[in-house]
Amino acid sequence: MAATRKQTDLTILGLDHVAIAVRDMDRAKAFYELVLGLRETFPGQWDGSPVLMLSGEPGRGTGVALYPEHADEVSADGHVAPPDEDRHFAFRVPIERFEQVCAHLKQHVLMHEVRNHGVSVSVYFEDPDDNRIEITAYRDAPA
Amino acid sequence: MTGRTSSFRVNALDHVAIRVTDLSRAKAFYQLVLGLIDADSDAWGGVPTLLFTSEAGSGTGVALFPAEHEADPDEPGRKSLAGYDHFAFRVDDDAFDGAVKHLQALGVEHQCKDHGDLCRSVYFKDPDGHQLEITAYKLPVP
Repeated sequence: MAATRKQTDLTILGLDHVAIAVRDMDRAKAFYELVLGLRETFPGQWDGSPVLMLSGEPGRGTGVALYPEHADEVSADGHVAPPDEDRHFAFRVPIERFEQVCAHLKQHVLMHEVRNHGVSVSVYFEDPDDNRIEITAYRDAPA
Repeated sequence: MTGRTSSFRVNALDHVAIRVTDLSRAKAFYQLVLGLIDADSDAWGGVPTLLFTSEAGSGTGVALFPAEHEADPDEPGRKSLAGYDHFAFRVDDDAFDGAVKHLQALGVEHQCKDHGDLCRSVYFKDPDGHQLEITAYKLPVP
């Protein structure tokens, strides 16, 4: 549906991160660093939650956002259910397109919340199956 | 896992696989709201339906699986519920064997799967049980 894409024209650059819950932050950081070669980005930001592990520079790389898992979210078989308020996946857009993206989303989705994250700004909404989606734009992304 | 291996690095996220209750509705949503385009879904018979930012191999996006999709013996643990299934990172095709050896060297339990002409993948889990995939496209990337 090339026509639909043209009409939408969101300039989505790609996935930025998947947010997941982890039981042991140090163990998870070591795993994603060692096994996938991801690097911690913006260490110390957001009071350490989430820990953002990306494959390259912010604005270019993609990866995971690790959230400390809530103790009551583990089922009997040990499977981790990410906390509802944290679980999401994120697409990236250029910062100069962010306002236009928000205007586009207002026409199509009910939930519409903009949050300022300091290094970035994001808007959140849900898909028809209640998957939480974020669109994020970095303020000082490499050109 | 022993020692630090810094030589291996994934390129980027490739896709997030989610289970949806109505494939047509979800496809329309990701096309209209996010402007994603159908990326070779015909090659899979529509399951999954791949909606990417651009062609497979360079773009990233979502892989939509019907929520009622029957459990695949090659991919145990799939649940018939809407929500996350797995997420995938991408490497270049010539880096795929190295990625598998890397997992072997680290003692990470994994399973390789050839997806025909399109791509090949290796599946494994993180310490919290999240299902991960590393995939390499065989298609020439524009």
